[in-house]
Amino acid sequence: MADRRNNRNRNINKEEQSDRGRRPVRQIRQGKLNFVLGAFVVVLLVLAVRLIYIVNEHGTEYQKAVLQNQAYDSTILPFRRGDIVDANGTILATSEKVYNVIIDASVMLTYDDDRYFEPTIRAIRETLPSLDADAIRYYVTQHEGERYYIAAKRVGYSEISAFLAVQAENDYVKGVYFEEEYKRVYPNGSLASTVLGFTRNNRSSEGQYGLEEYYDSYLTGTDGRQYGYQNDEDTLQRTVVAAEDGYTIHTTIDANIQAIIEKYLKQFNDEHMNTARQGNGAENIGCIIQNVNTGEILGMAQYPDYDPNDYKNTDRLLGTMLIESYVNQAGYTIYKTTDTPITQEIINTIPEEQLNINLSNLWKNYCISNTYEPGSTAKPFTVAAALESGAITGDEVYTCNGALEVGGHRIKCHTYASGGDGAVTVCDSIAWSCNVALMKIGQAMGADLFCDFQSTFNFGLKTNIDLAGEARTASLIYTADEMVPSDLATNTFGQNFNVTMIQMITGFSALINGGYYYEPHMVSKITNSNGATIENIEPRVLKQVISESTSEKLRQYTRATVMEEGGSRRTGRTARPAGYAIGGKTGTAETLPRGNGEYVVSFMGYAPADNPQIAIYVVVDRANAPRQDDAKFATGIVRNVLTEVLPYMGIYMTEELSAAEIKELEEKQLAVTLDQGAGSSSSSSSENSDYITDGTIIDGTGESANIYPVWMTWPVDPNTGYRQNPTTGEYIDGFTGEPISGDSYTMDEDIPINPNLEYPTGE
Amino acid sequence: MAIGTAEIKQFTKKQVRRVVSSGFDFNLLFILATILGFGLIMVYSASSYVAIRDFDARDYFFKKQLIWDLIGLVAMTIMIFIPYKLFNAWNIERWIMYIAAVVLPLLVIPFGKASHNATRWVELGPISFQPAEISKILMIIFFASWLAGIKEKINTWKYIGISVGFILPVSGIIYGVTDNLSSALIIAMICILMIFVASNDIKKYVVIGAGLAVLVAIVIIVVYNADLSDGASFRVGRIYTWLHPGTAADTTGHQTIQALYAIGNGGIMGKGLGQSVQKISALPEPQNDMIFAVICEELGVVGAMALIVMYALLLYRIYSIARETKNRFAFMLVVGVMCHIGVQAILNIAVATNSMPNTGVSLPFVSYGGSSAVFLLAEVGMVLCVNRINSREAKK
Repeated sequence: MADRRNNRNRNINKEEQSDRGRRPVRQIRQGKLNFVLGAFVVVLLVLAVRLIYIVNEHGTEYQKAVLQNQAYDSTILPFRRGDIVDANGTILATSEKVYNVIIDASVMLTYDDDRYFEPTIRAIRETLPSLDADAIRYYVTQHEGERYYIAAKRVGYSEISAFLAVQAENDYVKGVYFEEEYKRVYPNGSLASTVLGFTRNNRSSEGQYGLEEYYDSYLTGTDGRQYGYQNDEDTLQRTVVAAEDGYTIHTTIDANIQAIIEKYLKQFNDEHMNTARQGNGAENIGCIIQNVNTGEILGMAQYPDYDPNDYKNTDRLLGTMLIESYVNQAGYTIYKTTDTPITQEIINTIPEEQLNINLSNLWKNYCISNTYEPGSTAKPFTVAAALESGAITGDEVYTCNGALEVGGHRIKCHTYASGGDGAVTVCDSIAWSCNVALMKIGQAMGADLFCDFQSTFNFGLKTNIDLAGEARTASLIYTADEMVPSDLATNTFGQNFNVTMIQMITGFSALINGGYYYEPHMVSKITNSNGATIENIEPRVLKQVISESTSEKLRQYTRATVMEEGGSRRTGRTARPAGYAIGGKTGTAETLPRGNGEYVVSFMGYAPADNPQIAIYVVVDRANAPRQDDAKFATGIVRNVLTEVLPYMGIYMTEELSAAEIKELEEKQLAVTLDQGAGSSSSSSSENSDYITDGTIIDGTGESANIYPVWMTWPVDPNTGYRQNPTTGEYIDGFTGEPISGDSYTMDEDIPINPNLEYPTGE
Repeated sequence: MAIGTAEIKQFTKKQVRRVVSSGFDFNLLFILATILGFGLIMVYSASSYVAIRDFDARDYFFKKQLIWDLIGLVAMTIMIFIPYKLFNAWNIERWIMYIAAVVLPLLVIPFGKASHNATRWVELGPISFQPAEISKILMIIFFASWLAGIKEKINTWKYIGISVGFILPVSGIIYGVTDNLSSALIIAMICILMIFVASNDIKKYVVIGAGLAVLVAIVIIVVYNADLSDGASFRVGRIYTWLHPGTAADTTGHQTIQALYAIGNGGIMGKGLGQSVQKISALPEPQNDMIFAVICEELGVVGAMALIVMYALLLYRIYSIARETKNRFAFMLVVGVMCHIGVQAILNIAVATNSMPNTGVSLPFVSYGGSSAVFLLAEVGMVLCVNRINSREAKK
């Protein structure tokens, strides 16, 4: 073996040696090889250039030739894009057949005596008023051989039916035919616009945003074709390959609930427009209603919205804040929301590219694409995590003096101006929205546990809702190792990390429903064009985030935030709709940069309190008001929406109605559905009595009742009815001790913030 | 009998391990797989209408091509493991191969099957194949062996003459008997390029190149001014339409002008996969020689460029293997395969873009066709075999 190898090597060496003559032979051969490869590559390049030349020089000419061929012997049979329907089968998006009017000049001019031409032009003049018959006459005479001239695009059937009738009767009307196409139509205008999205140029393909984009592959079908060909005997044959229509998407959205939400978002906008500044009632208002027990979205809306039938219309931009883009030093494009409300003048003057940036912002779904600091609506999550992990038992009582010193920073409670909440039970910490108690709970947990639970509740992760454009928030929350004590403290009450609305409500549903985290979803079923089911999408539990017993406590605490048992200082009572018991939590978050008086206020709740069925979350981003930090902006919308949605859903009232409430319902033409039967009223009262007999709560409220907060001793101002701080002169709500109702506070500017929050891209 | 399945298994295992651990060119394999996959998709797209029309099954051609590709890959794998020296062990071998290359095309006379007005297929029982495709691979091996055998003698005019002389019978028979000018041309071009690379002389080739250029120019000028009114030959007609595209869109130039329409219709970005209009009836057999036009129409200049780049990369990988090859026979073998792929790809694209007269050349690894796929893949197998043995020797 070795011998043979040696032999071979020797042979090779011999060959090498013989190759080595006067000149380095191998080198020349390599050079020639290089030449051949080089020649191949150069020729390939030349061919590529030739390709570009063909397209550039003759592209349109050849394209036209193809179209002429095609019109003659092959036509596209367009597919129909699938519908989008709501939970009750109401059509939200559909496709309408429209027609392109095609003129075939060569057919019209078949005979020299114009026996087709004149009758056809007359028929066009008489029955197709939208077309200019004289212009067509001129065109045809100028382009005798032309077979494919589009005289009008996308006209409805009603517009061409008269012509079709004439054409059927008169054999001399020839050379006009109609190419079918589908146009995307949204019969309800702007209803659910940001959920639906739209299709590019309202055609059948290329869904943009929302369901249209996410389910584009399901909604899109395949074009069919009718074509002719010469068979072996040289006769023309026609074959039809039928189009395959797209699938229909059945959403979980209820158009009625959606309409109620949108009505009140718009009402809020109209009431607050142009009050403290020019422009909309708030920079953004968003609302989601979710089925607590399945994760299905029943309604998801925002203001401003747009009309997907006419999505490029700039009217909806009026009153929104102008977004400017610029490239920063690092080379990234930064989108910055300015303080300038868009006016018609701005629309007319800014460059188109900037206008498009603002339009695409309008098309974004605020509920899933925008991130913000949640504020106190995050408190139930902190408390749930602390209870679940055993860091607290729920029996603790904390003392709030209005602020807490953490990591060298003084972090305030919203009662800072009035000297603090005094003694605060765990329940009170939510019901009264006490930052100090929450910070102490956070300290009991520690950063590791807190961050663990943030990811348990899916903060920092996508919920994977079936809508296009959900924001990534991974960089917008802290990890345990980068978290300093002041970060933990501010995080406990929902500042200094960003969330999306869908993250919040989905997590909240899990807190309420016994701890089951459902994947939020918009679509329950996909059917084909014949109505046969292609796919059923069942609710999917992803994980159990907390135990049933922790969930039960959270239901109590959040109920106490809204209902009587929370005491006079509860923060969420303005959210309660007439006749119903609900639970929930308010939130008031200061936006960046701190200290300029801008706030995001929100309310997150569930209803009905004794048998949770829906969760609702309303966010009002920088309301147009002299003071933005009023949670009543959000609770007001929640109250209005629930007042109509709960009866609509067939949920009975359980609470006594006051005379004023009965009058309100009458004005809204809503029936009083108070169930006087034993069933539900007793269940509600037993719920209450259960609540009262709960040992810890009695102890808690008992203790706190003994200690009166400082502000209760302050004098009442006779003009306003508010108590007034004798030292600062600030007015305090006489019942809650808050400076204006809500749970707002101003954070000192020295408290460090997560730098990623400065310009959350939301992508 | 003597070799049981266990031995085969063990042998295969050992071989595979050896290949994986050596400097085996997986880049080449990856590029090849990309082109093959791309080709399958395009065959499916280009042929779907014809398939429905003629066979009532959208995937008729696609399925057949898939099977052919798989057979080709098996052939390739076999070639990787057959040491190339077996093809050059005895002098007699090369002559057998040469005779086979000459004789095989003659088989169409007794066993021929007419298709598209030309008899190019041989039908033997269930198997039908294009003998020209076999002749190509045989001629590559023969020439590699011949040139390695005569060594430096190739630098003399005499041996250049003899070598060119070998080409004439093969190309002549393929052109004469099967009326397949393109295959005849491709074989000639491969062999001439091999002779060119084998010799270490440059001056002679400058002379030859200049002579050829003058000849081609004369032909073009004569045809350009030709009067086609009476009895001009089919070939002259084709050259004429090449020089005057669009003048004869209904006769000889039909295919070419339809291909140009397809390219123009596709534009820069293309109409989208499956959206070609030209493939429906304007382009005859769109899955075949004119598949490049369908690619242009559906994927645009961008898609076509991507394919061109893939070819350039493939050629570069084969070139790199040739550079590392010390054995003369193996070197010429790799050069031959490289020339085959390069010439065929260029001719096909050149025809589709009307850069040369229309002649039926298939696009390597992309066009529909069994013989072409199997033998081209087998050739790549030989290249990989050379690479395998190179890297094994480099290790020692």
